[in-house]
Amino acid sequence: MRKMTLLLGMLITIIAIAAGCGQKSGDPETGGKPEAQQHAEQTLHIQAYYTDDQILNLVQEKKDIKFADEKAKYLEALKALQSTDDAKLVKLWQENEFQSAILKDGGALIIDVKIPAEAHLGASGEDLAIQAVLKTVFQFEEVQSVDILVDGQSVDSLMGHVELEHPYTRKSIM
Amino acid sequence: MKKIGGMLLFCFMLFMVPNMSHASAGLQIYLNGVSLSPSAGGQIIKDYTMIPIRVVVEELGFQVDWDKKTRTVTIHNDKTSMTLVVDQKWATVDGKKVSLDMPPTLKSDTTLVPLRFVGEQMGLVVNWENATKSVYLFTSDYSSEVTKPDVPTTPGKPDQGGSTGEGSNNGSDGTNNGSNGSNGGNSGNGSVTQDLAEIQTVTFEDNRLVVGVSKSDVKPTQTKLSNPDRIVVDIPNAKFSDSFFNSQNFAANGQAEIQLTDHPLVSKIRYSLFSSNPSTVRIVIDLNQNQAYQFTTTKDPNTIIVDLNGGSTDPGNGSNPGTIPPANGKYVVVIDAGHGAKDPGAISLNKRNEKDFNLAQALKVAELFQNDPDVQIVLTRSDDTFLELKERVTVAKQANANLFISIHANSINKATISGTETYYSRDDESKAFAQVMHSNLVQGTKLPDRGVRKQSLHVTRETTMPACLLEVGYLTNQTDEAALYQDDFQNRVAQSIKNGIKQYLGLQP
Repeated sequence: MRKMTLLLGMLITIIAIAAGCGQKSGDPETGGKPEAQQHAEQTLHIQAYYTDDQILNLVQEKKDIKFADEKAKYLEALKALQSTDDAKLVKLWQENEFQSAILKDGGALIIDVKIPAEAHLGASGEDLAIQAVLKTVFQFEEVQSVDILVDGQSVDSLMGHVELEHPYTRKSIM
Repeated sequence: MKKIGGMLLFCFMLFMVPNMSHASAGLQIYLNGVSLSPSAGGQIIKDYTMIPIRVVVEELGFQVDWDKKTRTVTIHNDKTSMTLVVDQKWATVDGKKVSLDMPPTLKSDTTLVPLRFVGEQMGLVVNWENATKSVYLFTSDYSSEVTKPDVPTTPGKPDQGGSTGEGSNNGSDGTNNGSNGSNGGNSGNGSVTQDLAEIQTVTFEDNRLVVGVSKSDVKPTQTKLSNPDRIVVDIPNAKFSDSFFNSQNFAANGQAEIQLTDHPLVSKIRYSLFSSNPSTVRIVIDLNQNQAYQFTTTKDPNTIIVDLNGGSTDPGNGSNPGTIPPANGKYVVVIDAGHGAKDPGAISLNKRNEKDFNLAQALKVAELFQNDPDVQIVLTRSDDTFLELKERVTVAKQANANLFISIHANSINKATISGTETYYSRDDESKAFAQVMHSNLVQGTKLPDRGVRKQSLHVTRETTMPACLLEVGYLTNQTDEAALYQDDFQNRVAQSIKNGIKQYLGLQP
């Protein structure tokens, strides 16, 4: 019976997040017992974003992410961008590294990335890579703004074509 | 009936030729549309138009030296120098020996030189119109105007009558065209040209000249000229349709006009049957300023379009920075080699840096424009230095650039993706500019054409002049990478970029 409730609760969370209007039902912040949360690994369906071989548009794909600590879900969601089973899709973040993704007060998500030169993309690849990050993390209702840093630094551009906004807001993905 | 008439005329003219070759009767010489004085004394000898050397000096404005002893004529201007000797079938042009079909000749103490040879060698365009026995000379900076002057081909004198009469007049730009409503001048040398395309409409709306044509296989040419600024469109193997001709107010000189009062870009549009062999319709757009434009033809409906919107988002203000050359008279084009120094750009399959390709390619473009009379290149970087994106934009703004082109090479983690892409960000003139650049670029790269794309990129979005970013090829593709670092490839691409710039600015390639 307890299991059923838990399952039902998770299902609601999943549906809510997938629909883009997440409710606080599964939010650990309201639970108040961190150590209990750490042990219960959660699975979440999210949309991850890739591009087609024209490198013209974002293509979304459903992915499961697993995390024990609720705080880790942003990083897990971003890491989902680095792999796909669909050979037709082009991964925009395959060789770049997400070092951290921390939600601060007021819904400000700080993402720290490492961009090795080998992973530099062309103009459209860069633009789509940024859009993929924004669309992915803005699935979480609590995220209000996103600041992408490179090795902890606020830089002009990730790969030299598109300027970074510090920070991006929800308007940025319109 | 008409055809027979034409044939008769043709035969008649055959008989006339020997007559003509003896006398200068009827021979007319025009320079830039102005008739040379009747005393010019040009004459036709063995089918060659000969003119006295005095005319070369007085009328054509070249320097002439005459050495009586050696009977040598030296003709020169600041560019070309040639030497001809009476009765010798060769000449020396800029030190090179050139054979002559018709040598200079002495006739009653006057030295005559072959007009076509001298004119063309000295840079004139020489057109001969047999029907009117007229020579039309144009200096290269003038080029020819829409109508030739009203040739005195006996408008009052009855011709051979009937349909042949129309034919004999066709060289005069249809001077008589209006007289019988059958647009006879347009039927051209009926015995020679068949199946002419008919110009059915000429309209100018929304800054677009649209010419409706009866056939799709017309091959119009276009030229942009300055002093005054104008666009000249020639449609060979074409004539005006009867209904169009009759609906227009063609003046006695065979020219009709659309007057545009208070239009910011265009003062008027003129058109006429410019030549009868081949029958050619000429349309001239007289511009108020140097104006970028796009030239296209469409099928079904068959039209020829000159779109002046290509260079101006707001046709009302006429103050478009993209098309007005700066004070020194040269267009400024910023070439931006992407990345640099600490930012290597992408890394190629063989570990070569994108920034190095970008720089080499940009320098090659700049080199091609050295000493260009119309275009001055400004580079955002000419060595391995780093500029922020906004600094690149600043360079363009400070240079008061007319055009901005960023050069890049592409990268994606999928080795099969190959080809050339061109990006723009603003839906203004940048789009047309990107299209022109891309169509030239793919001819240079010979890589797969991956199209013109819109993407919000800093340098193409934040600049204020037409701007595009070229992703020349993929560093992550084996074929592309091999090409990108080759000298030949880069030279070809540089030339294609130059062609694109010149095409967009409406300059002669």
